[in-house]
Formats: sequence, structure tokens, C-alpha cells
Amino acid sequence: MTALVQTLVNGLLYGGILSIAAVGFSLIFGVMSVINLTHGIFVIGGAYGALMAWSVLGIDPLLSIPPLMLVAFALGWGCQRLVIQPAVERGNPVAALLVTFGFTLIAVNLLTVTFSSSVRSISPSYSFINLRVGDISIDLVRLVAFACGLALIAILGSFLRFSRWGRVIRATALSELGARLCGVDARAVYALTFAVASAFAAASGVLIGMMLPFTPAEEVTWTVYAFIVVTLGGVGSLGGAMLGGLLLGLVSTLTQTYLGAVYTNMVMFLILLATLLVRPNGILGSAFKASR
Amino acid sequence: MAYRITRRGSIKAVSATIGIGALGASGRAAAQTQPAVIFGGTIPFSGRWAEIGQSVHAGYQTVVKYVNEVKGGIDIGGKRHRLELRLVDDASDPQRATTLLQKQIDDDVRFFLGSYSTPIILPQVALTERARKPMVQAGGGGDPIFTQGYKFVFGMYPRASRSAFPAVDAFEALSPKPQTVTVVYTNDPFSKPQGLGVIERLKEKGMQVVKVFELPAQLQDVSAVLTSVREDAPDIVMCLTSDQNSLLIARQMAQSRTDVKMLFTSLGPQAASFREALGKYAGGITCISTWSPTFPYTDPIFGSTAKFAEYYRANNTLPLIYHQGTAAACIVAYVNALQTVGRTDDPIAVRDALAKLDIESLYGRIKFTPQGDGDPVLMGSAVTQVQGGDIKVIAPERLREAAPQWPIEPWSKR
Amino acid sequence: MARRITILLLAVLLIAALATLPFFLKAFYVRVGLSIFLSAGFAVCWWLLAGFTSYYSFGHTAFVGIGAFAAALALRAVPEAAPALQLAWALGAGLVVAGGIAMIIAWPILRLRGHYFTIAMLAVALVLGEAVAAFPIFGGSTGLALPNLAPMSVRVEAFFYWIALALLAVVLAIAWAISRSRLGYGLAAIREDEDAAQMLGVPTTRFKVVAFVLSGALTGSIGAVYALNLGYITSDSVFRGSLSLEMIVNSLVGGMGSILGPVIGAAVMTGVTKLVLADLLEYHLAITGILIIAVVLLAPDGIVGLWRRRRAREAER
Repeated sequence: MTALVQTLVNGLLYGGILSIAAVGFSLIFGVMSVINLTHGIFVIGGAYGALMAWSVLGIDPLLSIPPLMLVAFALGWGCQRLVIQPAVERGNPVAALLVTFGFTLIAVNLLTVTFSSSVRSISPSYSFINLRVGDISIDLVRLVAFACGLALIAILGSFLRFSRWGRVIRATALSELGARLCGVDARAVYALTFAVASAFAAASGVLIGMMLPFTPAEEVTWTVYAFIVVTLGGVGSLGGAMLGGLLLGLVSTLTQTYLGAVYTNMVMFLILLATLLVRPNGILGSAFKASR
Repeated sequence: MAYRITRRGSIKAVSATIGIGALGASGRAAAQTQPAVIFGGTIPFSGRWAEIGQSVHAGYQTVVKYVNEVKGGIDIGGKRHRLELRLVDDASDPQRATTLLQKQIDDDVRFFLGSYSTPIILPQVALTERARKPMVQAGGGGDPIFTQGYKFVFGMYPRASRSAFPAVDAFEALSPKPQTVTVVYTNDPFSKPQGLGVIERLKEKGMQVVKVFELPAQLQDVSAVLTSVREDAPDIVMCLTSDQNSLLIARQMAQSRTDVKMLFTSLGPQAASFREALGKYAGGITCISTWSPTFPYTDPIFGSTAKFAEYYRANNTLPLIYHQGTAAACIVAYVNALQTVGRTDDPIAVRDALAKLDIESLYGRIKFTPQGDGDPVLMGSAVTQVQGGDIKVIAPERLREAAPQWPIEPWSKR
Repeated sequence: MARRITILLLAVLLIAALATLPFFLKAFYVRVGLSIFLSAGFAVCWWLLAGFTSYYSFGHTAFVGIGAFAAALALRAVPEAAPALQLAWALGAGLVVAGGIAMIIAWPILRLRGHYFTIAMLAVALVLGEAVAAFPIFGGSTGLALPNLAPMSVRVEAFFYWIALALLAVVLAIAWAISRSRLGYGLAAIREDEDAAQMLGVPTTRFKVVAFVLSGALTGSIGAVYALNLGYITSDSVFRGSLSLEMIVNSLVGGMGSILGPVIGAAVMTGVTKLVLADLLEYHLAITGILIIAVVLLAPDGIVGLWRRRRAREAER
């Protein structure tokens, strides 16, 4: 019984991280219909940013989140304007994807040259503190990351829901043509969306860097996980990313405990496939423009 | 000419920081008139194995730089020769690795050094074997490299399935003798045979294997495994895992206060960055050190292991771990074989000399099995434990620097 | 009619010329040629589906992996047979198993459109790669060794060069035949507007399935050659995301609008990355990335597109 509860707790905590790491991907996919392969590089970039802030300036990783988000916002904006928007305008669905792939190759190369490909990790003083609730053990750092993740998702949610720009982004996601007819500058919205998504990817990277060792090559993992989470939960909806992440976290730890850890990835990918075949819009998703 | 780019001033600063010290221009100029011994091969400078590739490369580079700049070359058949590396990036891609290696075989490169990982080295060995040119490598320990009758490949390690035996033997010697062991390995061409070998060895030595966990090659979360370890409470957890995975496991064990009397991770604590990341929680973790810069060996080129380490550290910023040592030993072995043969144009004679080699080097004794891998006893790893922030050899007896800490301190008492 | 015969003659001449190259070239260049033929073969197979129907698969490495492992496992069953038979057996195993699995997944997966199909294929590749690694019967994690099937009198790289060239020729011939058949026109209709095509009576599902299975099966047979040439495969080395991406990049660089696009793209990209950038230890990834971005932005229809545009401009003058 304890084992089951422990497994569920672990799964939810891990799932929270998967959720926050996927919201940016979901946003871009939903609004721009672009499969953004740079997502993972912004996540890992966030982790390296936090590592720099922590090891050079001595700033706690959690405090480095806001400035790093600003940096990622600016980088995302520039990247979208300079290389991705021109590709989107080509109209070919794969053009944008390829451009993001090319950008990722460059970024991985630069990260490797700058930081070497050694395994890095961020260990603030509280990384090894453990909480005990009855027989259940909870890593403080995972709990903190989970809470921060939820807070960030709430912030993004209220931005999309209540701010003027948020409404414009949602309108463009529903119908670019409709939004244009109402006088929306779609290109500006795309740039904003990409920048916001990049900022949140970087923030999630900081949280991940506190929990897991990382290398530049790790970016692939986070892009693929974002794929699964978003597809499972439903594209373009924050609730979808939340739900998808939590479910996936649960599936991951339950598989480890009851099936064998070696099958974890296989089961996660199978779920992705099954979702696509049975309910391609995801659990919470509604049909969006890329599927039409 | 792989290094032309690194000699450009603008890139030099960067390359120095990641340990690709280019051949110094001055040493090169003086040695230019000497004939060169060229070593070919590929290195995973990008992709999955990039991290280790950089270390391996730094190891090769150190010997070459020392021989050319400090010793002014080596004597082969009464003539001074300088050494030259001709390595290119295989991007951790086997198809690319074989194609690029073929170019060097065509260009009549006669002696090859290893890349990293069995899936890359095995297809390359098929090429060098056909060309009848030797490859001495410290990157592929997979059993198939040594069990298919190849005659021209030599490996610095015992093959994977035998490589963790020293750890089991060391644990058997602890007192009181440990009774129960949980074995964790990842599902990849090196760790899996290593893990299966360990399981057999544990049974032979009369210890009970409580549970075996086969994990995916790249780990994100092992909390479920640890929950089960807490329930079984084995004496020892033995992880046959890469350093990144080991760090994750050790960290989650400390976080979740999963206490065992001994934690073993095959790779990890050897690196200072691993010990720093875990801080006081690294204490007591045991690993196998194929090589450590503190080993008390003599070396025909550098004089001793310590002098190699000193020279390495003066010229590189990349931390010195066992990859540099084993890589350097590959060239030491070649130099010795070349000197025995007395000429540089006969790769087959050099192969025969390598097969008969029995010398002490900065790496330790170098003596290959008839199949070409490292002798499991003579070239087996030392077992080391983190004590006081550093790693200390606890077995075998002749290298011992400290008594084993057994059992290790519980996480909460640190 | 006369034009078609000219093209056919030219193709035969070109293939014959390429086939004689190993007698003159150093082994390395033969290997580069072999790499080009393999990449081009993969790219054309991918293009068979994507170019005709614009169903962009993101997981074609699944078929490479299936073909490779089918060949390796099939060869274990006939260790004593003559090498020529073993070769045919391995190629056949790759073709049939990859085709069979493609047939099983075709109906469910081809119901998906756009990005959903793309992601679903990625998922298929990931699931199969993990399964081959996880279940010991496939031996994907520790790897499988394949026997060397080249006859003693023939250089190995030349042997595989010829096989890869022959396969590429077959794949191209099939693609060319399809493009002039009822199937080809139907597929093109699907690409332009699938719903309209269906309303006009094109059996869209059947056509898509045929293209998909053909693409998967042929990829599988080239995958078998890929594995034989390497001699040792693991799940990681043949179910590799970068293989899927290479097919897409090569096709786009060459140009999606023509059968020759993927071939030209593969030749250019392989040539650039293996010949020009091979000696760059540190920066070749970044340069490859810049190259890809440049092609997408400056030559959206690929190299073939650039050439066509130039010809069109010249014709106007």
C-alpha cells in the first residue's frame, strides 16, 4: 500500500515537471501550428543559465528564473523574427520544422563548445532535504520545483485569459484569418507567442536543472517529452498540458514499479501512439487548425 | 589536417578550455624535419558520446604533445620520429565513422586509435582488420569486439562481461561479509553484459542477488526503483551505469534517504564534478577506477603516472579522469611496439609486437589476452571509494590507499 | 515517346557509368558513394509517400530499423547458406517484414492528417526502437552482429556500393513508374485536396495505403543493406531520429517537386558533410545547421527548384 502511495506521489511530482516543460511547446504548436524542435534547447539553455548564475554569481536557481525568462523571451523573439517567421511564410509545413532543426544544431554546437559536453548539475543547499509524511518520502527540491511549475502555469494561464495580448493570442490560435480581419497583426502575435513560450521553456529548464543532471545533448529528450505530453493532454490548452504531464508522470512511475523500468519509455511512447489513434485531439483538446 | 582550425587564434581560447590543446606552434616547427608516426581514427566530438570523446582526445593529445615538445620525438630504429594525430569527428554515428576511417586507410595511415562505444568501434574494426592494420583502443569493451576472431584490435579494458569482477571480489573480502545485493544496470551494449557478468560473479562468491533492475539507457527518474530498494533493504546496491545515470541515482537515493550499507556505481565518482555535485553525500560511494592519476606506476615515456598527471594538468583544464589515462596508454603501447619492431612501415609486425607486449606503463601493466582485450586479472580495475572528498583505492591490496569504509554512513547522519 | 526513350537510355548509361567508378576510385570515395546511395535510397522512399501525398513521416527510421533487425535475425536462421542466398534472404526479410508492419499500421495511422500523422510516425519509431531494445529476443540493446557476405574476390565497399546503387535504381524506377500511373495521379490529387479527391471518386484510402506500404517495404530492404554494411547494429544505431531527419532534410534540400530532388539533396548533403566538413572537429554541426536554414529560406523549392526557376527565367528572355 505504501509502495503504491509512494509511487503515485513520485509520479505526480515528476508529472508536474513534465507539465511545465511542455506548456511552451503546446503554445507554439497551438497558435502557430509549428512543430518547434528548438523547444528542448530553450529548456536546456535555461538549465545552463541557472548553472552560470549559481556557480559564478552565487544566485539561487529559483531567483534566477525571472531574469532568465527575460533573456529567453528576447532570444525567442529574435529567433522567431529572423528565421522562423520567414519559413512559416513559405507555407510549406515542413519548412518551419526544418528551420527549427537547423537552429537546434547550431545551438547545441555552441552550448557544447561553451560548456563542453560534460554532465552538469545544480545542487543548492536544500537539494538533499527530504520530507517525511508517515511512510511517504518526498524530495524537497522536487516539491519546490512542482510548486514553482504550478505557479508559472497559473501565471501563464491568467496572462492568456485576462490580458489583452493573451486574448489576441488565443484568437489567432482559433482562426488566423478571423483575427487578421479584426485588425490583429498576426506576425507580431507569432513573435510574442514564440517569445513567451521560450521564456517558459527556459524557466522549466531551471527547475529541471535543479533535479536532474544535464548535458547539451539532453535537449532531444525534452522536445520528445513535450510532444507526448501535449498530444496526450490536448494541443494548445494549458489544462491539457497540465493533465498530460501529470498522467505521463504517473504512467512513468507506475510502469517502473509494476512492469519494469526498462519498459518505461516504451509505454510512454505507446500511450502517445494510442492517444493519436483513438483521440487525436488529446484528452482536453479540441480540433485546431493544424488538423484540418 | 584536423587541427588546422584549432590553431587559429580566435578559436584557440575556446579549444584550450575544453581541452583540445593544439600542438604548440614552436614545438611543431622544431620537429617538422623529423619523420612522423601518424595515428588515425575518429572521435565522437559531437552527439551522444561527445563528453567522453573530449576526454579520450585529451589523453591522446597529451602523449603526442609531450613526446614532440618535451622529449623531442622518439627513437625508432635509430632515428628520431615525431608523433602526429589525425583524428576526425564521427559525431557518434557508426556509418559516418566507418566512411571517415576508410579515408585514412586509403591514405595509408597505418596505426589506429579508438573512438568510443562498441557500436562505433565494432564496424571500424571490421575495416582495420581487412586492411591488416592494428587498432589499439580504450573505448570499446563490448564482448563482440573480442569474440569474433579479430586479430588486429587491442583493448585496454577487460571485455564488458568481466570488467566489474574486481568490485565483486572486493565486496566478498569485506568483513562482515555482505549477504544481499541488488543489481541495477542500464539496457545498453556495455552495461548489460557488465551487469549480467556481475550477477554470475556474485552467485559464485556466495552472495545473494535480491533483485535485478534493468533500466532504460537514459534515466530521468528512479524513484520507483528506490521505493523497492527501501523495502528489500539489501546490504549493497550495485549500479552498472554511466556517470550521468549514476549521479541521478545517487542524488535520488540521498534525497529519499534510501540507506544501504554500500552503494556502488561503476562510473561517476571518478569525476570531481560528480563528487562536487553530491558534496558530503558522495562519501562512501564506491566505483571501479580503471585508472587513477594516483596509481604508483612507472612509465617508459613520462617516467611515472604522477608525472603524466602533472604534465596533463599543466596543459589542460578538462578534469583528468580515467579516459585520459587509458587513451594515453594506447599510444604508450604503440610506441613500445614500434620501438621493438624498429620501423614504422610494417603494421603487421607492430601488431605482433602488441600481441606480445608485457610492460608497465602509466596505466599499469599492459598485457593483452590472446583475444586482444585487457587481461582480467593483470589489467582489471582498482576498486575505489570516496573518502574525505577524494577517491581512495580500497582494493586490490597492492594499490590500497585506505581501508574500506563499511558500512557507509546513513544519509541523514551527514 | 521518343523523349521517354531518351530519358531511359540516359538513365541506363548513367547507372553503367556509376557502376564502373569503384574500379577507378579509392575506397574512401567508394564509401562516400555508398553513403550517398543509401541516403538517397532512404530519401526517395520517404519521398514516395511525402512527395506524392504530402504525408510527412517523421519516423521513417522505424522501417530502417525493422529492415535491419529483420535481416540480422533472419540471417541467424540460415548461417550455412551460400552468401548470395543469404543476401537475397536478408534483403527479402527486410522488405517483407517492414512491408508487413507498414501494412498493419497503415489503416489506423493514415486516418490521421497533417501534423498528427507526422507525430504518430515519430511515436511508431520510438515505440519500435524501445521495444527492440527492451525485449531480449530482439537483442537490440546488446546488439547483433551480421556476417560479411561480400565474396573474397570483391572489395567489400565496392560490393555494397553496387548493391546500394542497384537498389536506388529500383526505387527510382518504381517512383518514376508510379508518377506516370493512375496511382500517381490519384496520389497527387490527395496531395492537393484529399476531401475533393475522395468526392471525385479517387479511392484515397487504398491509394494512400499502397504508397505507405511501398515506401515502408523499400525502406526496409535498404535498411537491410545498411545493417549488412555496418556489420553490427544496436537499437540505438538503426532506430535513430537523425536518420528520419536526414531523409526529410535531403528531400527538402534537393527539392520536393521532382523524383530527382531527394537524390540530389542526398548527394549534396552527404558530400558536404563527409567531404567538406569532415575534418572540422568542432563546428561542423553548426555549419550544417546554417546550411539547412539557408536552403529553406533562400531556396524553398530546393536545388531542383532553383534550377527550374533559372530555366524559366532564361526561357522568358
